Amino acid sequence: MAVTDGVRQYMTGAGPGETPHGRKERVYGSMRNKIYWNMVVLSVVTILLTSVIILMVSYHVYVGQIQAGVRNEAIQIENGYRQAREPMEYLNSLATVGESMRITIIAPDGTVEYDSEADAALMENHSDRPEVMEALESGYSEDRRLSETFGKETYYFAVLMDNGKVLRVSNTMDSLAGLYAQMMPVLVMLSVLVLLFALPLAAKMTKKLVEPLNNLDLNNPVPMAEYEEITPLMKRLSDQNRQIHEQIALLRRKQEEFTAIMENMSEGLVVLDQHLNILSVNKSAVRLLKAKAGDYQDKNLLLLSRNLRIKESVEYALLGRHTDAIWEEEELQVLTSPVKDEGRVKGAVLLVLDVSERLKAERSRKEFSANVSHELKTPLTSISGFAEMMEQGMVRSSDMKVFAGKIHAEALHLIKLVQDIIELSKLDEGITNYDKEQVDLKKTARMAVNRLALQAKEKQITVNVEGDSAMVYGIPQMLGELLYNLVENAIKYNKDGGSVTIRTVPERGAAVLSVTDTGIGIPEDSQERVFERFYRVDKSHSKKISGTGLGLSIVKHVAEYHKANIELVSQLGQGTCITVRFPCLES
Amino acid sequence: MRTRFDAQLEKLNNELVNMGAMIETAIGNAVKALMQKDIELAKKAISYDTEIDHEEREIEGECLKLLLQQQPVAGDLRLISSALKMITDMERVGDHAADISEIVIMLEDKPYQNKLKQIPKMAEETIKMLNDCVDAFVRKDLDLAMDVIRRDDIVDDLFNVEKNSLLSVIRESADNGEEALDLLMIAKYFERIGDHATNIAEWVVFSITGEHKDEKE
Repeated sequence: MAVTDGVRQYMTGAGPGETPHGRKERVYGSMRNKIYWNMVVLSVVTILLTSVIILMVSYHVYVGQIQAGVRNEAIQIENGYRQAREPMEYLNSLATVGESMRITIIAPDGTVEYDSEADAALMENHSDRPEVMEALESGYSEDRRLSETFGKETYYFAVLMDNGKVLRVSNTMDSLAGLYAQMMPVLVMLSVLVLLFALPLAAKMTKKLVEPLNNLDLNNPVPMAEYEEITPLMKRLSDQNRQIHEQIALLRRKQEEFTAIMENMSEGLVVLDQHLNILSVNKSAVRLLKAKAGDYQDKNLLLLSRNLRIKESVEYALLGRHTDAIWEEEELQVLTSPVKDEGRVKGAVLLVLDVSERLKAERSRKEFSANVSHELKTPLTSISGFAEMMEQGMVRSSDMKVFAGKIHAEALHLIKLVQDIIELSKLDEGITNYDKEQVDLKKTARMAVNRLALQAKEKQITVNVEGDSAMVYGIPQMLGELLYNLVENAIKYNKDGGSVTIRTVPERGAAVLSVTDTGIGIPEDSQERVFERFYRVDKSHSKKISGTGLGLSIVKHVAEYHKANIELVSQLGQGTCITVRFPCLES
Repeated sequence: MRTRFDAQLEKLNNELVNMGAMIETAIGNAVKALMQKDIELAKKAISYDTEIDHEEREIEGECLKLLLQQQPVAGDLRLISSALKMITDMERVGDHAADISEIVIMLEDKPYQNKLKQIPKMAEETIKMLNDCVDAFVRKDLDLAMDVIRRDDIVDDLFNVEKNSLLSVIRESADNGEEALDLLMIAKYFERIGDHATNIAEWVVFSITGEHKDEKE
């Protein structure tokens, strides 16, 4: 059932990444890895950005220094050149001193007069050089040019001297890319060093960050000291936990209620899915279907009962129909109904009822009607026969009286029979028009004896009423009927000259009545059956002793109505004693 | 893949129990028809035979499919192979139920009932054997299966008693010969059903232990 499944899914507690149905789900990356790698990327980016910025800044400073050096040099050389008596010698002395800069003197027409590094005579005209042209115009100038060699840059500073010549001082320096290339090994070394230091640190920090989260007790969520951001989550979680627990408890209670109801009902109940698998079954069903005790949950219906009629009924129900059948042989009533969900049959419910009592009652009813018809027919046939003979004039007038007497006797028997049947059906219905009152059993017994005095006298039977008056709360007419029938039987089935003893004994608020005779007795195999309707020990219909076979049946009914017990002790040829025990007056 | 195989095995198991229930019903109907001279029930038992044959084909197909597709081993293989053998015996029981019912129809206007002698007892005994061997299969009950195998002798003895008493019936009066022969056939069918129940029980034993009962003796 849906309820059961819900609970079961909670109980199984499927592992992470796995649904209760065993399907694999996408596995998500761990938070720890994510934080770790973020940290690593952060450190690498930091290292790279820092080195780029440092390089740019230091390159700027480096270039500025070199340029300032070149400018100072140019001014000094210009001074020295101007004051020197032998300017050429001065220049040459500078070269021998090991001046790293290149010094060039260019005439106003562009002819190179002196160069510290090349033969001036071989050099081309310099008048088209931008720094020379500008210096000629405005007194000084500078220019930066990338030289052919990769990674080098040359800075030129030109000054127009007093004599109209241009002094140009130049120096080569590394370009930015060149500087990078030079710095690369250092940078790599540095990065590795930083990373070597940063990686374990990152790992450690990550672990520390994640640890409180890992240590969360999800079953018992409390607000965390470490991260206040988690608090709302924990609060929500704890609320939900409580809700889930409440719901599980509710479901379990419902389930228990359902199980209790199912297990305690005397009807068998089986709930099945559409593949004939048992979803739930109660003990009564197992007992009524005569299956071996065991667990039939989730098993096929056939394992519970191989009776194909049950399977057939359930299959009918799965087609959406109700079935209701009584199986006389098994004494069962079997009902099946479809279980529908949104108009589609999802399963079936099978209800098994024990109808053995009902069938028994039905059988005895049928038997009763058959018996009644038979008992009524016999005297009527006699009456009709005698009347017909009289009608046809076959009876002599002297015999007329005899025949009329016979008809009268049969008619009386019929009346008695009908009275008895009416009495019985009244008792069957359980409705009487009389009110309950205090009845003295001894008085009632005396009345019954008086009514039967004639019959007793005929058989010379002494009837004694003994004991004290015993009070019973009941219906006097019915109790009178009970005593009349008991005493009548005691006289009818007695030997001539025998005796009948009626004893009434009050017993702690209750009353015990016993009727003992010295009669023919009841054979043992009939003792159980004498209270049945129309049962007579003497089955030959010779009817030595006339009777309807309903007397003791009436006694039994009256006793049952008054909640009294009947005991029968009898020995063949010795007599019979019937004891009726009435319960306390209060009850 | 494995869960599908398990589901298939369970289905096979259920189908076998279903077929067991069918032969139980068929033989039950046949016996009731015989005892109560119920011709309608006899006809029903005969018509059941077709359904049982159909079920046999179905289970056979199921077994072959399982063998081909899943290539089972050990216990699973034993279950499937013994299922293949069991259904043959079950189908024969269905045939015999139909055979008995046919004789019941043939004897319609003969007062054979008070001449049955041992046959009701044989019927009761064989029905119990069938119930028990199907039960043994359902519950994988080795002891019960062994018990069924042992009880075959009871049915065999009953058959011999019945045979002798029918022989004396024929000796007394040749007029009763035809009827006596029919009754002998019925007795023989019950004896055969007992044998088939024994076979089924032996296959149950095999599916549980992997050994044949005869080999152990």
